[in-house]
Amino acid sequence: MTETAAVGAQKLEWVGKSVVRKDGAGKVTGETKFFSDMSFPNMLFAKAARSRYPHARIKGINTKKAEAIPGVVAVLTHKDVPGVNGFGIVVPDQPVLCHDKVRYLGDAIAVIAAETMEAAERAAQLVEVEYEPLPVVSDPVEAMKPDAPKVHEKGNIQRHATVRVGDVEKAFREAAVVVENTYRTGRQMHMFLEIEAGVGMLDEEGNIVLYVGGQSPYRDQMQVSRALGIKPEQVRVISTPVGGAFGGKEENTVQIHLAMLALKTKRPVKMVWTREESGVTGIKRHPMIVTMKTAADRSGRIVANQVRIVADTGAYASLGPTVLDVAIENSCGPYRIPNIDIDAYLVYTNNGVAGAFRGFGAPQVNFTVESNLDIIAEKLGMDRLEIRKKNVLREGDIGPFGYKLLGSIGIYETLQKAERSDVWRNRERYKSTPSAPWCKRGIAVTTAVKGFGFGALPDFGAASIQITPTGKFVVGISCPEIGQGAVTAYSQIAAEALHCDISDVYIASADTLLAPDTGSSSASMALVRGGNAILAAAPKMNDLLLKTAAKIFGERKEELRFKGSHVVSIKNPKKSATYAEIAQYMHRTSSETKVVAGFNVPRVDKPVKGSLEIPHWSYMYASAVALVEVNTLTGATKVLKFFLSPDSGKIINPQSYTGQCEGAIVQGLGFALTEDTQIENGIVRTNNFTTYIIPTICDIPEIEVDPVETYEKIGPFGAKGLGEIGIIPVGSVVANALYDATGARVFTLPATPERVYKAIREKKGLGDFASKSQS
Amino acid sequence: MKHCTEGGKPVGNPVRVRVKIFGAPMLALESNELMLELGEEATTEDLLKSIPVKDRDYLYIVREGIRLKPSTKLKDGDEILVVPPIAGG
Repeated sequence: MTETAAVGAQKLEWVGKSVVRKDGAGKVTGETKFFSDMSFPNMLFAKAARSRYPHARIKGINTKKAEAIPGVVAVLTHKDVPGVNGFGIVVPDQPVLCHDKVRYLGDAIAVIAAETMEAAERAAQLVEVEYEPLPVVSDPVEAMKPDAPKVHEKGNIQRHATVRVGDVEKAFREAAVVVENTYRTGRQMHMFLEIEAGVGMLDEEGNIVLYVGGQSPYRDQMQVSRALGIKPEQVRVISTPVGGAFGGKEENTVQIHLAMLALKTKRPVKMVWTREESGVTGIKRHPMIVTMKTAADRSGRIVANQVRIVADTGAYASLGPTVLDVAIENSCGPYRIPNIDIDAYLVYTNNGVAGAFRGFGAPQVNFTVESNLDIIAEKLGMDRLEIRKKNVLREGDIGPFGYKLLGSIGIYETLQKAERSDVWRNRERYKSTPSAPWCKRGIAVTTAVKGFGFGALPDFGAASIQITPTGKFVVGISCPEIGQGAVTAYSQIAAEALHCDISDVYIASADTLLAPDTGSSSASMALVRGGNAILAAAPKMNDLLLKTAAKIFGERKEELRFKGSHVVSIKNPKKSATYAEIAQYMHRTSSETKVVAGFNVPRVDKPVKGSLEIPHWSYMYASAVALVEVNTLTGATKVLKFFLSPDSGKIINPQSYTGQCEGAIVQGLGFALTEDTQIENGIVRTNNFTTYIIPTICDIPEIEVDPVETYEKIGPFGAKGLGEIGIIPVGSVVANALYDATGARVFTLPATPERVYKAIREKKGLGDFASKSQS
Repeated sequence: MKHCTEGGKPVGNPVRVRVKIFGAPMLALESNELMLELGEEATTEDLLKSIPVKDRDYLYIVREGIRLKPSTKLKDGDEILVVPPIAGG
């Protein structure tokens, strides 16, 4: 029996079922209260005074006029930061409040708490700062030059990583075909519906309590305590529910400012960024410039890949160093490539701040490797799907960075599904029926890969389970529900492991007081880390239940078994106790009612030389097919059909699974076609839904999701992560389909109408059509 | 075997723990793996005081996937991970 078949044969009550989402009804009816909806008696309103320049030295700060505004209760500056005046999960290079220099327009110089939002906003405008403007660093390539103005004293190259395997030069010399191109990708914005927001206050003992929609309450706790110079235990963070995150809330946003103001005023303080403030201040996806030289032999086998990546991290590092690693790792796709040579740079500029965004560096390089592969296929006269089947990784393979692949690999099977999909099988028919004579249709297939979790970096997570006097279970997990369906999936896993009804499981999610540290909802890892932590804790709880029932029955626990929220005697089935009866006994006798257990995420001992976290222990995979229609008169592109076959291991909840994939595809369409935060000389020009265009319901194609269920041995019930894999191939498959439609290739995403139109004109030999801003 | 105990002498029955240290905190160390012998009542905080690492207040001390509090008592044979604030993708 294959492992996949074994999963199918396992009798599961809850896992694998489309259980209705626990958070669904509240969200669709508007009943759910997000933290931006919260209000407390005696609450103050907070506002940050931010920089007026993208790059300037601060010569002086005067808050007197701000303090004089009626209703203003506190105005805090860098002098009021008692601990480390810096944040950034890994590299705390971003000032909590700036004192000597500003590096982008989102830099905060003061934070104000006032009785009304109007007073806070007025005071923020009246914080007087004397600036000495500095040259703005806006081009990451220019920023790398030794004589470029420095964003940080140590220089503008935050990280330079090199990874080399084999001999690319020899491979290039011997190859049948070599292609080299430079690609660019946009600065995508997360555009979550709930903007960065929260409420901070003190509890009765003077400890700080933060209600903030973030992705990692324990990391927030650490960052707040580090900035305030206090013990982490003095900060409680509650982070569920979150109105969308996608990586943009992994980093500190309002947390430290709220904590400072609550501590100063001893009153509840609420801060809600405006949409425009979010657009200027918040995290973005790293724009990347990628030059890729790829070679193949006559049979279409890829023999070498040389990659140079320049990633614009903006003013601060945030999670850029590890985003760069994922870009390196994904630049070779899910392919066997014996010779690689990668140089990657993370560069400071004054272009906002880039950090984590769903895909974490992978969509950018996926666009490049998949484009180069289609070009190679064309040069060799090969079918685009066949060349991928020839090169994709198989179980037992050595990965492109020279390590043996340990996790399940279903990429070949996803390609088979793509091959059998309606849109691929009938591609010539679909292409032959454009909606107008001046429209052209094209179809492409691409693949994607991404590790889930932190790769070679240490990672761990714990869960607690407590039984209530009524026989229900409270499961403590710190990974927030950010819309991905984590709470429902955890409930399914817990119900399965505890032999109870799913309605008897309550997930106490993302509260540092109530849940142990399960890590973050990021890196497509919340399900695997949290699910495994539950599976580590559940046997301990089951043991408590059996021991207690054994006492009640006067039997040995080995003579008992579980049966639907009961413990029954095997010898005498009439002896039975409900969980409620057992729980009442436990509480009456003051017995232990809570267990905690943890899970160390499997990892390789040492990262690949030159990297921080490569390789991952296991990877998600996907193949995608897209049918597009291009209006050749305007360059406007519409995606008509999208097929996605992910390999994300065992599916815990098919409905949530499909939803995650559909959401990822739609967000990927934004990356592919429209989304790019325009920053000119440090000034953000597209900071709201009027100017920053995301896909709407009118842009959503017919989507089909047809998964491959491999069994991942490190995942709960064989599951892998899922959250990111669906977005990764979207840019590449749309770009390649555009080429299939028009014969014109775009080397820059998003493929805006202007870029597509220009590419079509150039293909026809008509030259540029005047726009110089759209390269 | 490295002895890190009160006044240079073991207190009560010694607690032997294996410590793995990751990332920046171990810059001052030659190896990322240590064997420590601590006093009988040794806590997480005692362990941290006995190793030359940076930013000790914000390190994660992990045993069997569970982050430990400063006051958590260590057990003989424990394998402890010392992890700086970290994130990847």
